[in-house]
Amino acid sequence: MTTKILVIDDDPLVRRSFEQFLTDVGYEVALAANGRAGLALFTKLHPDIVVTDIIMPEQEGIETIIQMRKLNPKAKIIAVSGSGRVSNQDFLSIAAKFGAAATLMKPIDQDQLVDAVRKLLDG
Amino acid sequence: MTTASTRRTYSLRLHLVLIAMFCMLPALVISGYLVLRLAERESEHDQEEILLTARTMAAAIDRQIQTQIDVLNALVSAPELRNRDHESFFRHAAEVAKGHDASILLIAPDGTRLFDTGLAYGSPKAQVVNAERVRRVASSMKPETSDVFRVPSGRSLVGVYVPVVLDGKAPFVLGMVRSVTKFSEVFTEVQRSGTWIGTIVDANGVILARNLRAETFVGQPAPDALRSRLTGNREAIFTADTLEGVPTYAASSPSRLSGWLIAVGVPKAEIDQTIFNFLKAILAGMPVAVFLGLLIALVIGNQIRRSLRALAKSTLALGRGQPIEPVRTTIQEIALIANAENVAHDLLQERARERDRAAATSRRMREHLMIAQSVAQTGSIEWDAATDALTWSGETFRILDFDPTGGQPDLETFMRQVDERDRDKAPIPFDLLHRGETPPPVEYRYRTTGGGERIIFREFRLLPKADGTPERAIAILRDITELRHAERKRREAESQLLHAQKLESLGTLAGGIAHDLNNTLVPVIGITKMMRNKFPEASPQREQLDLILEGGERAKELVKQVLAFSRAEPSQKIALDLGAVLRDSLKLLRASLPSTIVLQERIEPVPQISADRAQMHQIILNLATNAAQAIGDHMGTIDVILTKAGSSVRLTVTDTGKGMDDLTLRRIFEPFFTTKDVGEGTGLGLSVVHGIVSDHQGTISVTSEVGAGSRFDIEFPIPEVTMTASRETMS
Repeated sequence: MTTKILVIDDDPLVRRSFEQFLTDVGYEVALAANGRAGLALFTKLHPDIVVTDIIMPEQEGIETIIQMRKLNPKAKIIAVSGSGRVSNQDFLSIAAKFGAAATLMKPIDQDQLVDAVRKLLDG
Repeated sequence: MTTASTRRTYSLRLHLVLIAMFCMLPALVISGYLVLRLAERESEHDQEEILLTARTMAAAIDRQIQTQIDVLNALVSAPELRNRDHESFFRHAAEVAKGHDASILLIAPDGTRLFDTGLAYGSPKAQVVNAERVRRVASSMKPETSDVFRVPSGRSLVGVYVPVVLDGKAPFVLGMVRSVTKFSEVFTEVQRSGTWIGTIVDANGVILARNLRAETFVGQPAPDALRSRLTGNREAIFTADTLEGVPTYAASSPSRLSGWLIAVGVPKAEIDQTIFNFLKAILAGMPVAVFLGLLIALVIGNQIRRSLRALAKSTLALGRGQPIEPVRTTIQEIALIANAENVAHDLLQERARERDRAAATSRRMREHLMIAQSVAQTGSIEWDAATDALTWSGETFRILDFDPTGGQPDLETFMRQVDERDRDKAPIPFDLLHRGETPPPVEYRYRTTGGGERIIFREFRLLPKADGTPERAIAILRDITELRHAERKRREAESQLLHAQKLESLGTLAGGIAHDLNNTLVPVIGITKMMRNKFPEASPQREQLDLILEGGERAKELVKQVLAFSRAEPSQKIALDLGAVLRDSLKLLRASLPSTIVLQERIEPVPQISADRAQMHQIILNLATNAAQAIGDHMGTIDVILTKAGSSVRLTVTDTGKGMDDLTLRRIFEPFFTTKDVGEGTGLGLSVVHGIVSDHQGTISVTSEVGAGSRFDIEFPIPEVTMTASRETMS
């Protein structure tokens, strides 16, 4: 059974790049452009891993992480951020507090993302 | 005090005594005159009284004679006589004569005595003594009285003769002869006290009767003074000596029926004595009156003097402003003055109170002004148009740093303290003031004697007279040094705030751009890496993709720096020893710096601060790089110093490079601002430093001089806990 990974990011460049990185190594990838859509897919697909951006329109990442953890406390989530528009806010550390198992700073390459996914799957 | 008159003064008592004397003198003269007049009158009165006595006596004599005449006339009508029965008539007459103690004679007109009741009837006829008179009576048929005559027996007699008229003829004369002593009875009839001399003188000037020593003088000739009165004005007042030789005041009155003269004399001594006594009494009373007058004058004088002394005392008290004692006096005018003084005293008291109040108000206002000037740090100078005199207030002395006890300095002394550059502004423009023009406000720089710099502001307000010409002017003087300093600081702060806001917005902008750039770089770097690995090594495609990757990596680094500036990149602050970080950084730095640049360090032990180690590295690196670039190819020195400054840790980086002008200095913290040639620097170095320092609640300041170098000072606050800890360690 192939591993299912849900990628949530408002930027299609990032979304599609992550899809390339992950499908390249054989993972099944679902994409969502915002937190609400991401949550819908999460309920429907029950992905093994969720990679979510933090700052997004409609529903931002932290809120999404909290919802997902409610639905499935064992959900494995990687938070990604290109740093905020709002200065001096360490969103990634906040995300970690609310249940993100790993955090990554953009820009990230295939190696970094795949490493993080594998570590989670192994763990 | 008025100077006392140098004229001699005399006491009020003396004045009053003199008044009394001068008032009494005419009174004395007049009363003396009156007394004399009175004495004279008294004397006249006495003399008239004497005359009255004489008259009364004359009347009494006449009455006696008339009685005799009446008695004789009654006998004349006796029938015996008509019947010529002389013997019967003799008896009748003898009886009548006996009752009158006289002798009655019937006498023939030729003077022959027909009978005499004093003799026996039928005695020889003889001529009577007064035969001549009898014949005159018989012919005139009018009764007559004789003078004194002496009969052989020695008696002095007086006879009264009346005609016996029968058928229009006088065949007989009836006479009554009596002793003169009978007439002396009149003296007893006169009620007169004291010594007096009554004398009855017959027509011959012989004394007929006298009240004193009659036995001696009756029958004697009267004194000449009396005899001379027998003719002419027989009723008179005169002076005469008595036969005894006593001078008298005398008066004479004639007897109508006899031609006698009755004289009354009172010794002059008697009357004069009376008058003298009277005068004596009056004259004796005068000194008493004078004495009493003077005594009263003295008493009144004393009373007035007492009142005046009390008045003088109260006047002095009035002058001294002491309470005045009431003046007890019975003198209306003095009471009036005393009352006026009381009123004056009240008025003066009231005025004194008003003066005190005014003085207190004035004192309070002066204090008020002084304190107000002191608090407002505003002095004043008053200019007087008439004299050009200037009066400084206490605060003016303080502001211009002169000792008030030394007085106002002259213009030259004052001008020495004024800054050379402002010496044209500082003097007071008297010409303008005199023209009535308000001088424009001035500011001048001023050196206090202690060497301090002050900025003095001066502004005039003219106070013109009613006609518009200037009378006075008040200049206010203010030490505006602090104000000007504060203004400069405020301007600086404003400009700094503006600058900070500008950097802030730039940071926000940069952060936003960085976020999107990071997203953009995800496929650029990520996909390129993916693809690159799919091509064999040394293949042209792999080489081309590496170029894209290199570009992507540089872009990633740029974004990282921008984020650092915008503080968007999370920092991890820990308790950090900046000295240790500094040493590590400088080790790396030394290796990279050219040998033309000397790097000097002075790292003092400092308390730990809360900081991100990597960011601290970056600050040091950026500043050192900046310094090295400022020095360029020239020889130069970079000094790095770490010290504790108050509650901060200070990092100072100084270079001897080319320095910066003001324009550059103002913009050095702006991102992408660079003075370096394109490709030499990103222009982000100092803005990143600024971002990091701000993120650490630190401050950064820079001073620079073109051609001499620049100096950056960064201060990080020492956390409270560290401060306490370090203090404990130190102790």
